[in-house]
Amino acid sequence: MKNRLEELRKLRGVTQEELADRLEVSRQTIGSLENGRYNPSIVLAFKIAHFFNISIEEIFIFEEEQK
Amino acid sequence: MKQQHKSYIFYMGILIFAIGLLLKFLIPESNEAWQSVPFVMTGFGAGITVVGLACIFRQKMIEKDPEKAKQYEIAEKDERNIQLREKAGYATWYITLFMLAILSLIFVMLDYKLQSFLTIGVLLIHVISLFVYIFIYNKKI
Repeated sequence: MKNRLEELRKLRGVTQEELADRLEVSRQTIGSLENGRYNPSIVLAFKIAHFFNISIEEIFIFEEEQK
Repeated sequence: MKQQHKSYIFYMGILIFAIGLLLKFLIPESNEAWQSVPFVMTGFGAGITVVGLACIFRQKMIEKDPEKAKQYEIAEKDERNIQLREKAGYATWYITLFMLAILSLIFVMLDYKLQSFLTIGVLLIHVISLFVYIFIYNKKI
């Protein structure tokens, strides 16, 4: 699953540490999310969406696996 | 609550260590089969005591520094860290299974009956415990 987290974070002028602090997760989690190595839980996805004040679909791009 | 939990580990270590020392004097030298038990218990107890002490010191340090306490709490509750621990635990389960199987095979080949019996027993408990926890979590989740 791709996401626009890094792009949105930079647009807001927020560092990874600050975003991690606000979402109460580790900075490594933010890094992994931005690199696409880790997919968040639905709770964290909602927290991120609330932080940026946009919908989850605008941050996370769901792609069905190709057969 | 956490502080109580850490102290519990420390006191448990002290207790095991003390029982080990006590057994050293209580087990007669003629009883060769039980001679190693006090050494194993004191060693095990000392190890747990050190771990308990380290936990208490860490807890004290965290209590003095609210910023560190917050970082520690975040690291504990971080969902990626939880997933990492779960994955590591699952991988370790397989490694333990493999090691127990190898050990059982060696004991069987050497015709060590008691050791074979014990290792195969532990191996079975190891496998059964996985299915028990799957059953328990299947009800909870």
